[in-house]
Amino acid sequence: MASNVGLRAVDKTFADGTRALDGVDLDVPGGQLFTVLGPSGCGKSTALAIIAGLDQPTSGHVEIDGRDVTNLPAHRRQVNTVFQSYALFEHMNVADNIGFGLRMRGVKKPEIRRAVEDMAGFLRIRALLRSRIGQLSGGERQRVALARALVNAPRVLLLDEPLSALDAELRTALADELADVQRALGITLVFVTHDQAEAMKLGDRMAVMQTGRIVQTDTPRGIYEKPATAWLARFMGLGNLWPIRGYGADGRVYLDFTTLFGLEAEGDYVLVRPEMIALTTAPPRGPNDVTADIVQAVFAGPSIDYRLHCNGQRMRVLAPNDGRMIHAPGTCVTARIPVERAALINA
Amino acid sequence: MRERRPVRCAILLLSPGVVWILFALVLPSVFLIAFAFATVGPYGLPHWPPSVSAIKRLAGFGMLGWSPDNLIILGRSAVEAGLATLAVIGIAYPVAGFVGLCSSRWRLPLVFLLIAPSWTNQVVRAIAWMNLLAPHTPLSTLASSLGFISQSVGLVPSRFAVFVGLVYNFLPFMVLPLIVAFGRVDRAQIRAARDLYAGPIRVFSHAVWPQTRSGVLIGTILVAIPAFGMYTVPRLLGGGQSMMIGEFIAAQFAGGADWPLGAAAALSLMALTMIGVAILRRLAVESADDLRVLL
Ligand SMILES: Nc1ncnc2c1ncn2[C@@H]1O[C@H](COP(=O)(O)OP(=O)(O)OP(=O)(O)O)[C@@H](O)[C@H]1O
Ligand SMILES: [Mg+2]
Repeated sequence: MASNVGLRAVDKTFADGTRALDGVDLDVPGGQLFTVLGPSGCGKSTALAIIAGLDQPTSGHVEIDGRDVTNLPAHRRQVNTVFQSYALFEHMNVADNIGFGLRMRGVKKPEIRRAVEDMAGFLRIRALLRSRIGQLSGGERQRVALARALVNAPRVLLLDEPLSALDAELRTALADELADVQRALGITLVFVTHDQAEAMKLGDRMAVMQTGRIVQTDTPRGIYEKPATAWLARFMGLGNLWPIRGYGADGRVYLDFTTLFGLEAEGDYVLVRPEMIALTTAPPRGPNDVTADIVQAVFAGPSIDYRLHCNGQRMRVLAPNDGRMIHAPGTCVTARIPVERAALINA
Repeated sequence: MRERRPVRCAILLLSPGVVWILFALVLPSVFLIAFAFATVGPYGLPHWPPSVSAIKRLAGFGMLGWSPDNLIILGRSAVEAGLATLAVIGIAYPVAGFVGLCSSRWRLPLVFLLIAPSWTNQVVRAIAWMNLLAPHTPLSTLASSLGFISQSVGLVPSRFAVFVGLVYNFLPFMVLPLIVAFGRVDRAQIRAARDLYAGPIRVFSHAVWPQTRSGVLIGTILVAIPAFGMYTVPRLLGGGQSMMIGEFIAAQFAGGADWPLGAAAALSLMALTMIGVAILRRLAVESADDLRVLL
């Protein structure tokens, strides 16, 4: 049922000279939920269009199940897309929209009706089948678009930011539902988003794109723990990224505001996650303890989000809200930097 | 005192429009209807008492019994206008499709080229066609060598010349709404159709045509109705053998004047037009098009 998808050195330059993809290599394993994350305009939609066969790569190959399908037209690929704008047919009702793909493939009418009703039941939009597209809410449209793609039993389902037009609550609910659908049907699902949290939460694996290139492909945990570049660390909003100014004897690393001891590898930046730094009012003891001033303390429910200054360097610390003390702005505290869990990042 | 202000303000704002509608639309229509039911007096002017004699004469009941001549003119006008509209759609649709789907850099120059000819007066353009279709011109020679006409006649005056003149005259009125319609086509729907296994023909019929149909309807209103009552083109290119209703009406108010007959003909033109609009409106409402705003 599920197919794996590969892009091999895919370039895409549009007629106006815009280079949307630049040597993209991608491997999407079959039966997984794969997320593609990247800022607006980085080429995510273009990559999906090339997988679906709606756009031709300027050079490179598309593979489905190891077979080169670069020259196979869209209507001969078992790939379906949920478009960024949904692209529902406004002049048809919901049932005709959902049944469109089956109708185009020459499936008999009663069979189409049954398939459409089953799919509508599965996605809980049965009551909408006779409605016009113009009457639907954003969430309903999203379900119709999903049903229209899923009813064709594709081997690969491509979703282009399907949740970005929805409010936060609906978004989380539908994201969970999508993950359930993917597990229930066992299909390969490529999910494009520009929301970091969504990409990490949903993806079995994820790829991050920047201006037409894939920066890193890994599990969400792998990307979270060891982002490949400083840009990626910043884009993921991962926390404290401090430039390294030099190395000394016995594992010393010189930063702008302090010297860290015991860092193993080499890199251009050291990345320390805000939730891993501990704050105490006790004086510094270990070699990697620094004193810092609290500039701001934001109460965020389960955690307290601190902004600190430490010898002119900004630092962010996310402390669990254990119901005890909240350090007030202006207090001087000790920050314990966990070098054993810090990552070294190249520019 | 206070609450009356907005009312007075609204009356003031609306009055120019109301006055305009009253004098340019309501009053002439009242006159037209009155004339159509008057009796014809000396010099062809309308006279009382009211009668249906003009209507009867329009339908062909004269002193010499019944003749279908007037009805033939009416029917011919409808057929000419209908054929010309179909031809205009056939030419304008692909042209507009090409221009509308063109990149925006080329669209403006192309639109300019398409509408530039219509800045010349339509009389001048009809005369230009007279010259183009005259005997011994390349087009006439081609037509006679293919055996459509005999050597010395030329393509003008003829019903064909009227047809060509109408198509040429009304092309911009179809092309422009269609370019707008094509420019607003949601390309994502085209991609969706392709993604859902539609080949080129069905991409057109399911994703392109439904999005451009309202442009065709608007264009049809802008072309068919004026073509129906067109005066200059049949007058100049038809040579009197294939009179259309516009010419007929004009003749009743000039030359052999008969105002009540002219008014009756104008009234029937209006009635047929309204029937046409009602049919188009039905089509638009059925397809839930944005055209409903207009009709
Ligand atoms: N048909 C086209 N012609 C020319 N340039 C295009 C075309 N389609 C996309 N582009 C350009 O290619 C680049 C990538 O576009 P793409 O739509 O793939 O981005 P995206 O990552 O999906 O962005 P978003 O998150 O905003 O949807 C952009 O710079 C865009 O302007
Ligand atoms: Mg996009």
